[in-house]
Amino acid sequence: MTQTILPHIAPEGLQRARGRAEVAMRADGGRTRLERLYQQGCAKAILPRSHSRLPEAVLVNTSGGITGGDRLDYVMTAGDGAGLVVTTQAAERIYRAASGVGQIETRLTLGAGAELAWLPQETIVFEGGAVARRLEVEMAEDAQLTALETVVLGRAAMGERVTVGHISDQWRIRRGGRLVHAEALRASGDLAAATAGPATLGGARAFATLIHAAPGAAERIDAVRALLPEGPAVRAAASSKPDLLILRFIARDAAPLRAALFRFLTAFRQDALPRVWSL
Amino acid sequence: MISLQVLTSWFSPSYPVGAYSYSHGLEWAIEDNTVRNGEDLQGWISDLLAFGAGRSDAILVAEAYRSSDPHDLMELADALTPCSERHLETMAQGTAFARTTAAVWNIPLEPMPYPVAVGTAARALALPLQPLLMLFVQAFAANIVSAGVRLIPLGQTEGQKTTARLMPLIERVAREAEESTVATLGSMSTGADLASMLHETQYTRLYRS
Repeated sequence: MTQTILPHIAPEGLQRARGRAEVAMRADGGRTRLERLYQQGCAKAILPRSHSRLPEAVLVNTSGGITGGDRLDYVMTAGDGAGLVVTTQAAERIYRAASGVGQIETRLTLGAGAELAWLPQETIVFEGGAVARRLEVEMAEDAQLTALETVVLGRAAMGERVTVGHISDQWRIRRGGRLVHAEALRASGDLAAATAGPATLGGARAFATLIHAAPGAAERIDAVRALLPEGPAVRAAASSKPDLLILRFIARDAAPLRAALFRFLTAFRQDALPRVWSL
Repeated sequence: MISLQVLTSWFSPSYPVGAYSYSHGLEWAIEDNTVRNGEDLQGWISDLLAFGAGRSDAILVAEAYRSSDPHDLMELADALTPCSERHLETMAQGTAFARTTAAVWNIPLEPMPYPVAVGTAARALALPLQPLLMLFVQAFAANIVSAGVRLIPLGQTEGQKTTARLMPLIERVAREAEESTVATLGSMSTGADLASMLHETQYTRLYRS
């Protein structure tokens, strides 16, 4: 196993993309209002008119993709009693890194009784791409979180095959200050070997993890299993921990996975997804 | 006492942690016809060692061994379990290991996830890290081989051949874990996670995971 194929620090002096977007919502007499919007560098946050239950924020990386040494920071907050659904305008692209690792740091904060859904579009890793992502969640005991990340290794339609790269995705979900769930996804170096066998991806190129943390979440496990996609195109399964649901999906390619996630999320959340999901 | 004697007793199938009752998702992979013979079994376990819990748990053992306070690692190892049966697998074995080891060796050891308990106990007894990791990883692999021998089924000789073929990889994973930290923790074993989740609703089950 190659521990790290690429140095972690970009050479000094090279111009790298930096971006930071912050969106905070607060409850105001039964409605959610924007409390803070901050944008810096290549990260933008658009607040479209929402056609669903929760206000929406759509994140845009105007640099068009991520390569070694780039860094994006997203800070999303739903204050006490507030709601927010966050997505991205497009799939995030991780391009071949000459050196260094692209970093994406996302911080989600959910106040008492808050509801936040983090539903970005997929992250596409191209040959030689290197990305380290962190998702840090601080939530109140009675808040409701839904968080999704989808990774696609190259684009099947373009005949792309990813053999080398670096992917690290670290999630830490704290509820009432206690670490209740963590995800640690990592493959470094020979991605073809790390995704070939049936215990990894069985040669599939698209996969996703979905977490739902809320009071009573585990009691929905049977209902959630009944909503999972069937058939060979997308394999999916669900499990539970106290007040938490964990779902994993594996698909041959991005398109069937996206369709399965769209159907699952719409039925599970009983709400329309942000419009960018339908494009 | 000689440290190798202590370590071999810990990773003997007769040490009362109940390892034999967990298949780490293999029971579903066999039911599903993903694992049908010795060759498939070797491939499945190789991936668990190189890209799954074999590697991650070995890193947790090494980090616990180096840590004077394992509480953060206990919390992390608990939170990292990807589903209910894998949570049971690490917590029940860790609790049994801690209870027995505390009583036998007279060291303070509270219930905690299995790899963290192993590293913490070895630190308390000043046992050598490299053979600890080697035996830990080999026991992880051999336990799943045993489940395969029983469930596929395979002959005992074929099972031992599988373990023997995995030895170079076991050695490498143990060696690399010694130099790894929590910062490089992580796995790519999504297929094995799915198998463990699907095992929860498998109709007939001999194993608890």
